[in-house]
Amino acid sequence: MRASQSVQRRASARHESFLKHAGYRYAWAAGALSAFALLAYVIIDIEPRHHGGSWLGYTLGAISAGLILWLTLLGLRKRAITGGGWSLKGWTSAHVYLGLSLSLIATLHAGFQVGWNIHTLAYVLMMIVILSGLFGVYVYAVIPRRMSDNRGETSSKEMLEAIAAIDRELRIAAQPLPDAFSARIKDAIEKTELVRGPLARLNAQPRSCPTRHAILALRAEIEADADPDDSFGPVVSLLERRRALLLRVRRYARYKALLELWLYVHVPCTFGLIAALIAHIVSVFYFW
Amino acid sequence: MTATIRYVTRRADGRESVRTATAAGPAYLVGRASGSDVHLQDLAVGLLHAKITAPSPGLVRVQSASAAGRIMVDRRFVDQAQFDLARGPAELKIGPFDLSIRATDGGGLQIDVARVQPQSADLRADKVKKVFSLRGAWLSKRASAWALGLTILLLGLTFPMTRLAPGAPVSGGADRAIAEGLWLAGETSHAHAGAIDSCGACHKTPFVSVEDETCVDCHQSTLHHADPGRMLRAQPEAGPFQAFLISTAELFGKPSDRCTACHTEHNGPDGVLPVADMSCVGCHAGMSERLADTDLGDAADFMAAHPEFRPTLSDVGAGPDPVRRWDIAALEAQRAARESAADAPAEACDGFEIGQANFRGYDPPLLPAGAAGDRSGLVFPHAVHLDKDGCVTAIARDLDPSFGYGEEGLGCADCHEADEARALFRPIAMERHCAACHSLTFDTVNGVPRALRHGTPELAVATLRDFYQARVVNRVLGLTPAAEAERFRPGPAGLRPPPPGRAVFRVADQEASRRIHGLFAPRGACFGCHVVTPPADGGFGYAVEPVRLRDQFLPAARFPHAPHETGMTCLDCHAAETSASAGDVLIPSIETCQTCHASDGRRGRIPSSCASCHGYHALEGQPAMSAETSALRAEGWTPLARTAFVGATHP
Repeated sequence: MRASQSVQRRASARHESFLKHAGYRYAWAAGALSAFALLAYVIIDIEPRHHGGSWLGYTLGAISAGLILWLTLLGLRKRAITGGGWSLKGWTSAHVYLGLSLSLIATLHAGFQVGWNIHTLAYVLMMIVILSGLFGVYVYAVIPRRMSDNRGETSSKEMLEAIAAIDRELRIAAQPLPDAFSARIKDAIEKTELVRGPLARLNAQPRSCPTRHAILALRAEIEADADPDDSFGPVVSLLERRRALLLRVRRYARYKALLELWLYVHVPCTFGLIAALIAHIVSVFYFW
Repeated sequence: MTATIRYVTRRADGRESVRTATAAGPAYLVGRASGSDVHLQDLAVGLLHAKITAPSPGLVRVQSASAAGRIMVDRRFVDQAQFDLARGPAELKIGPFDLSIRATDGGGLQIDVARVQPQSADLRADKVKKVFSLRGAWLSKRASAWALGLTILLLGLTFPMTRLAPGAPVSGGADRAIAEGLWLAGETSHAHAGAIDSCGACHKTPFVSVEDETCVDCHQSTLHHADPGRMLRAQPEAGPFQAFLISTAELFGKPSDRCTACHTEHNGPDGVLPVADMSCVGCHAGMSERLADTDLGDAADFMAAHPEFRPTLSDVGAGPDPVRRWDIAALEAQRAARESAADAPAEACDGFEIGQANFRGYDPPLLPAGAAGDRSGLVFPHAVHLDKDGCVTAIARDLDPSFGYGEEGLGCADCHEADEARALFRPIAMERHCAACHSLTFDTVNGVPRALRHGTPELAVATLRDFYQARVVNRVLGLTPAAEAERFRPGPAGLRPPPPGRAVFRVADQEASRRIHGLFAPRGACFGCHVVTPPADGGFGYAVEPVRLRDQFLPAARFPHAPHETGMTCLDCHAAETSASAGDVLIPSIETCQTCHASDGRRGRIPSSCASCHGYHALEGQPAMSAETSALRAEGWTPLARTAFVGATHP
């Protein structure tokens, strides 16, 4: 227990999360910005109600639009590597916290008014982007540790090589099996998808797995037959090892997918948001 | 017959290694089983896959030995095949192996076995990255981002813009409604929703803020708040922040003196109407310093800084339709003085005879000209009429129930009947509200009461004279019933003869004259309620002051009575029970309102803005709010250049 704590402490000293960057500097900044907006919203009296078209509404809207554009720039910024105060880590930290504060400021800008229109579409897309980003922060915080726990000390390449080695042994060990079973082993080796489709890979233990079916078939035969063939035993144990390795590989694929998948919502919705934001602003000034 | 089996393995560097085995005929078993003559170690091969025989020299037959034991010859799967070795070696494929059979010089067979396909599809390390990445496994982020963005631009910007542009045809179709809905920034107020059928009705020019002329097109009768020049002078100098807001709004084409500066549309059903207190207070706080000649008191907050009410009162006798305004405090002070000076109303029910067209109550003090109070021309003490122990209550109780006065006597609502909106009251009418007691019946002949018509003194004089003359005529003609005739014979019955003809009429005229003067004299039917001026010549030309009862004492404020009828009575606000004079103004002081209302609802009071009671646009004055403002602007005024402008052009 104590050992593991000290390991953790050493790990955190070596690697500081972007969430804790510079002593939560950007968390404080975003919190102050949010508190300022909230205070203005509560104190300043707008008749007949708070709305985007009051001077406060326009101010909050301008801040929100500026934030959205700046937050989008992370996509460009991350392609250039710099250090120091404007490190990518600092930028990411600010991206996360200011992005969160945007959800409040834009809501206050709208004065909690929603409808089936382009304005609310922009708002909804913005919230989808923020929530998917929040999910991204969560997986970045949780998944890497689980990933290394899963792999042990092996790399993904070593895991795949281990499976290939087992497959070679299986091909030899399965030679004496009756055709019905050798065909299953062939399927297990050749038809088992290590990594499946982008969504399917989120399930690390699929039911329709040829390796699993082969194990079940061989086990059933061993149990049914009073005097099973000697060659069944080694094949089953090889298959079991293959299945354990498969689970590791698939978990690795699942974690990799989780780390990437949210970006497939976050990035396209950001572009949708910017389009809706342009339509929102142009329409407001068009019918000024 | 012996067969030599050569297992050929091709190495990565191209070299071949060969392992040789022999098998005795006549048939050679091909399979994965370890005892096979041709041992093919691959799971694609059956345990016992095929059998090779040589039915005659130079001839080789290969046939499948199990259901799955397929053999490929010339790219086709067959169950069996026969080859003539004289033509060349037999070529066939089993699983991943190429088999080539030829005859040897010794009469035997040579079977070459070569693996042609590598061990299948094991994952290679160089593919690792690709395997685990989502990149390429799915739609790319970039493509979907562009697709979504362009779709939204097309549907959310281009489509509405083409449908709603000023020159676009008004189709009235669904596409236009969808386009308007997509861009609608908030619910249109109910006031506008029915009257306006398209965005362009108000938003006439793209990228130009709604102009006042557009509002005035429909709101033609809406009036200015006040004279624009005076309004200009009433404005305080803008502070730095206010100036920043104004100049920023100007920069974006939204001048702060537009109708839309106060009336913000698309904020719900009533959104366009409410106006912020700040808009009013901006000028009315400390306005008297900037507008020295104003009649209005400064107002900044209903609780803390609002002038006392100043009711608009009648001043009968001072002109055609004169009004005057008094401060409530002065009114209350003078009323208190009146009450302490006046004798308590006499209990004067004795002699008040219903139906005798007279009033024998006490003579109430009339409000002298110039005194603080309402000079409506009517004499009416509320206190006497509401006193539960007084004679009015006693008389009302004795009236026929059909009049509707119960045991309680008179209540407020017996005379003050709410109008349909339950905001104000229907006018007081003498016949309807007073005549049950204050009857104008002066006689009853043959059981038919004879009454004077109210409001016409000349007609009353003529009616009485005609009545007494006609009575004599009836008597002379013998049309008077005996009982009636007896009443009018002077002296003991039967002793005196009737007077001669002319004299009879003169006596009748004297009787009429007596009754007419009595009508207008103190304690007469008219005098009791009206201000009567007798004629100088002693004739019948009595002048009765017209009565001007006000239907609103605070015409510049809205006061709906209906919302105040929850648990409150009239007397909670109006001190009618102690009012001995019709000159008393029973509008309560602002303090009474302040017990429940406050500007911002502080201390648990009802939030009440300026607009809760006051309207912005004047009730009378100059229409067209834009014309004068435009003129001022043409002269060079801007909201920020007030001081310079007021000093130079509008001193």
